[in-house]
Amino acid sequence: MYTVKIENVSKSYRKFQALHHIDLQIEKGLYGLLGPNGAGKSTLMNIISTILTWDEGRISVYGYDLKKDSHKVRELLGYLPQHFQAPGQFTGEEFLHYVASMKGMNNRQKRTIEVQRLLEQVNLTEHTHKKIKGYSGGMKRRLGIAQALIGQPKLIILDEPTAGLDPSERIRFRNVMERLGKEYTIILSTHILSDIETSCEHVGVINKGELLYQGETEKLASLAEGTVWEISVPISHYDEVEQAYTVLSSRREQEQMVFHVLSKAEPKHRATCVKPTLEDGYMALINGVIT
Amino acid sequence: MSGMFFRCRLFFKKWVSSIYGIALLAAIPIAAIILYHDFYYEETGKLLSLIFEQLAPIWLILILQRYFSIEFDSGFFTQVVTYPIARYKFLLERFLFACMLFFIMLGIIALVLTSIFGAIIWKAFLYTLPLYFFYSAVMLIGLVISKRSLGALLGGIFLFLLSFIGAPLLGQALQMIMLKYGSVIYFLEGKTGYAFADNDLYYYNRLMYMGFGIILFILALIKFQRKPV
Amino acid sequence: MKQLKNNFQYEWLLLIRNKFLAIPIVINIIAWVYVLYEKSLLGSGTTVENQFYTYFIWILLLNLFLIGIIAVYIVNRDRDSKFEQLAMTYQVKNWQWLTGKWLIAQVYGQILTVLTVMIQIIWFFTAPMTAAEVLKQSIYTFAQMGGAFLIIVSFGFLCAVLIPNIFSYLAIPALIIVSVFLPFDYTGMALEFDNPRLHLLTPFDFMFVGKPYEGIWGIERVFQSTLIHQMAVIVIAILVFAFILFIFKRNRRSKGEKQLLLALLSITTAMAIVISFIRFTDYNQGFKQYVETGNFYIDTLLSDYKRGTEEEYYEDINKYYDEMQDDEHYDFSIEISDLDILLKEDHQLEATNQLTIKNNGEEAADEVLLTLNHQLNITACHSERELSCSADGDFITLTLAQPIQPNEEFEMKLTYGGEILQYFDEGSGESAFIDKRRVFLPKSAGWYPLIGKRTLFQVLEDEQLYVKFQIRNTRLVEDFPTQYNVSLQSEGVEVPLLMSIPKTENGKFTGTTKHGLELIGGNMVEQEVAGIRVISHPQLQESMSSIVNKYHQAWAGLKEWFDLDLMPKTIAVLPNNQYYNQVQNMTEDFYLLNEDTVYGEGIEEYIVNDLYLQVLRSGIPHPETFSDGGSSEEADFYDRIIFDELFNWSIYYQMEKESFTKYNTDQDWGTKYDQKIERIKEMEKQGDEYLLAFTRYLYDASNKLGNSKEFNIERLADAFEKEMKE
Ligand SMILES: Nc1ncnc2c1ncn2[C@@H]1O[C@H](COP(=O)(O)OP(=O)(O)OP(=O)(O)O)[C@@H](O)[C@H]1O
Ligand SMILES: [Mg+2]
Repeated sequence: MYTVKIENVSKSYRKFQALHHIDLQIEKGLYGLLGPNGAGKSTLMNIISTILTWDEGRISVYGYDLKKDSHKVRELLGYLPQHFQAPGQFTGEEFLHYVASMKGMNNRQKRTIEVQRLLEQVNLTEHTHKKIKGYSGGMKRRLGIAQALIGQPKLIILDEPTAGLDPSERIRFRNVMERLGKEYTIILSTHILSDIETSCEHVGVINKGELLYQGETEKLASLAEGTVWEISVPISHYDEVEQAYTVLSSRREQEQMVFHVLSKAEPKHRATCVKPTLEDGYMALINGVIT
Repeated sequence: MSGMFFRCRLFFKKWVSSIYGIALLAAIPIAAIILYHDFYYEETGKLLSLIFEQLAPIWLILILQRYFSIEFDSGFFTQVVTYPIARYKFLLERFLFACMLFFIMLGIIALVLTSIFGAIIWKAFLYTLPLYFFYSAVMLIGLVISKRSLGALLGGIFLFLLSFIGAPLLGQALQMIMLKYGSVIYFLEGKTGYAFADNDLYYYNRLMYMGFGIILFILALIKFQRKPV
Repeated sequence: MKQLKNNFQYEWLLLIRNKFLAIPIVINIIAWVYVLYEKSLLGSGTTVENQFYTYFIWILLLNLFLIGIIAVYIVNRDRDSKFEQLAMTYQVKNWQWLTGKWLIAQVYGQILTVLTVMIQIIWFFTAPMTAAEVLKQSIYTFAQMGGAFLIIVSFGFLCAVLIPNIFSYLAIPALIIVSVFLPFDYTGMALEFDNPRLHLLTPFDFMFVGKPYEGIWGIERVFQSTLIHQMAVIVIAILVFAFILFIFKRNRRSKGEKQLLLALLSITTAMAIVISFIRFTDYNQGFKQYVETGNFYIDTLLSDYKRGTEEEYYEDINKYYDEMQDDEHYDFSIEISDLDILLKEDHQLEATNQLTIKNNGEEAADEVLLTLNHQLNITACHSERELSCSADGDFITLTLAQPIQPNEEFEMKLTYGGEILQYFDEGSGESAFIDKRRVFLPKSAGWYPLIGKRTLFQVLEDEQLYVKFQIRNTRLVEDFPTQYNVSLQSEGVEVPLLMSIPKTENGKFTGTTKHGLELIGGNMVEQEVAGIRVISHPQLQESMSSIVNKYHQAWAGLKEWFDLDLMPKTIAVLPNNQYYNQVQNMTEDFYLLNEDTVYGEGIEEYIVNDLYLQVLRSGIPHPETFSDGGSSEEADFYDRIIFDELFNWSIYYQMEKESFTKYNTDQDWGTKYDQKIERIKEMEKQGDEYLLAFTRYLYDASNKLGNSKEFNIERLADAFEKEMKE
């Protein structure tokens, strides 16, 4: 059962077309949205979050038409923008109460329970009474995540939620998401593939406003099967290799450089075909090595 | 110095490549032409007062605001102050750029008007300078306090309103709109023969604004120089 | 609702935690402290109301600006920080989101209103005022300020929603200037482009010139119409807000919300139209009557007049009015006038007048003319002599069957009545009225029969004014005194009534005067100072007694040194506007003081100027300056100035006993003047009395020689010194 259905959606900012005929189906669980800077991820997410309108196509969320029943969708929605700002004069707790009230939670007791739960979830209990002005970058980000999760939304959209989080917070975040993903639909965009690799079952890859791939995460890696090569050359050949191939990674072994490169055909140098990772699959897709 | 020249050119280029910027610049001469053609003035002073004391300050406010907004509203100035340039110099530089634009435009108008009304235009222009300076200083204070061009804008507008509606409140000595009085024009023309006990007052009035302007200006620079962002 | 309460609470938190938002409150407090400081400078020479309302408009305007800016800021804040965008993904309804902000801006504004009203109440209780009066005044302030803030917040929101950038802030001063500037600059003469009806389009009722407070009449005139005006303002404020809700993020609005808003919009629109219409007609009938009056009396004598510079223009106009003064001689006089008057609320007047008319001329006549305002209708006209009455406009012609011989008298009786309500300044003030708590029937209203054919108003065409004419009162000075016996009754009038002639017993006034009758009712008292009857606001009693004493000294001095008997029997202290309206027909019998200028420092200078003008107006030969044509036949400019100075000093001297040199220190007329003044200073060494005598000598010379070359101070001084030595 698909919870979010995007059919043939296009969007342009004045003359610049940011999304070209996107078709996307999303199920319950975690869904990763990948793509280079400027691909159109945020644009797409803003559209689903009812912030932006779009030019053509249809979107339905849990069976509601996004255009006609946007207020119904908002009842289901939790959203974290890429650049989250909160009024600095509030303390973290006040802010979450404020948001909760605007999300329709008017019972003070219930709200307090919910706010406490969320503060714990994002590990901000220590800072509840601090003004947001005094929050660090990561703390602000976590507050943003908390506000998105208020009211147990069925559709959670997180635009680069892990940017600026320290490793332990990222792990904590991942665990929360995995738990929520069992019940709810979560769409998140990120540039850190390891976030997605472990927790998202499905991903979509967008580049220049076009959908390049959608499907299971593992399959994205296997797409690059046969195009990732390991070559080992003397250090003096460094530049030569870099010019000839798309280099995925390199490491030094004594006097030799070992490269992982992308190539459709077998490279001229002595090379062995290796098993691609998710990253390799993504790079292959973006660089047009596979279609 | 060449760096400053480059920046000046860059800002100017940005200015003339936006519709709003061009419209703002064009507004000065256009309004002057309309005022000159469409209204009948019994006295030159009325026209001079309208152009120099009542409309020009609006332009000054808008031009300064736009210059300030480029770096302050985007928050970029927090970055700029980490560069190896003294903070006050940075502020002064932006201010000078804006003033240059303003005075070039107003200078052109003064030049044209001089060919019609004679040297009194220049005298009136010079007579209004302290007022412009005071306006800018107030805007600068607003800017450094609020760290947004909004502060500057509100400061300027408040002063502008005061010059109109607050005139009776300011009393004779602090009047901002002066040129409309015939006796002030006489004073500027250096006419004597009648008793104008107020002559000193016209003089001190502008000295006062100049003085306040300098004090506020320096205060703004000091505050900006000192205060961590 | 609960949701709204929450939003409101959190907006409130944001508000009180923003340090910049304390600025307006601080500014207000500073402003009031300044006002109180100024007040202590001025002393308590005037009423507390006068002081309060002098500053009230300023403080109102200042706050209007601040509150408007804050309203814009409250909307822009969350939009600029992008938080609004995020909030728009919540379930919160548009109306809840905006109403929370709107209410908080309103609360902020009303805090300032309450602050002002509290200051007013405390201040007013320091004066002897009844609680009811204080309450009324505070209701007025509350309505004016509260309504103004209500609507400026709505418009602030509208600007912020419509203009999504920093320029939304500019819209506030622009709006204030557009709406307030015309009435603000208004001096009672609306120029061609300035339709006075547009003065209604202000966030507070601005239908007055200067300030709403009118001395002995308080705020009675404006009170009711202000309440209506502010009611309209409140409804429009809600209407505008409903409109904002209607256009805000339309795609986010639910159907139910839309229908509710449409309902609210239509209800408020209907109410706004009805109330605005009531307010408009309320004003417009006054304006219409003003125009009617103008057209009734209009005089096209100067229609082909060409305007010069402003100064020249005013000079010409004044000259014209001087020439047109209604001082024409008429041979008949009213010897005795017994007047029974009944005043009724709503400006109604009924009167019976028994007149004894005498022919003072040398010839017999069979026609006698009287003047009575055409607003009043004559219902009966009797006489034991056979006569017929006919009215045409303001004039009544009595045609007698038998001519009336020189020195012969006859009696007659007139009964008349009607509405007497007159306006000045495009209807933004009333110059003759009978109301519950305020009555004013000046002589110039023509409310009782005057002898002869008198012009009640001088109306002059003026292309530069919106109404195309200007109105002035004429100077109705009679040739012969009349003995008036007035019996006064009133229905529905709640304030004490006084006349320009003394009261003998309850409701009876008797006196002989050339000036005629003025009837005043309001919050006032009568006292006697140095033999002069003084009518003023009760709070002015004390300061008036010292001021009138000063006047008395000056008048006594004029009599002693120049034989000018200008001392009046009665002085009335009128509010600013009425003073300017009536000043034309001040006479030696009845003198007016302007409430606004008769206090504070420099009262002596004020008195000097006032009396100098009185001398000019009284038609007595007087020092004459400032007609500097520069012709070779005229006296030297500096000579005339020096004479003027001396004359003024001699009035000043009666009060302050200050030497001429000291009095003259600030004068800066150039070197030629300084040379000439040396001679005077030389003479001063002989004593102040000596110089006074010389001034008298110059005065006589000036009366004889006029403005001719002969009038040469140097030569006159020589002659005077010679005379003194002998
Ligand atoms: N308001 C706007 N006006 C014009 N163009 C815009 C606007 N917002 C985004 N774009 C353009 O649309 C494209 C997609 O932008 P978007 O923000 O969706 O990218 P993204 O995939 O989120 O990138 P990133 O990973 O850097 O966040 C970009 O090319 C950007 O330049
Ligand atoms: Mg993005």
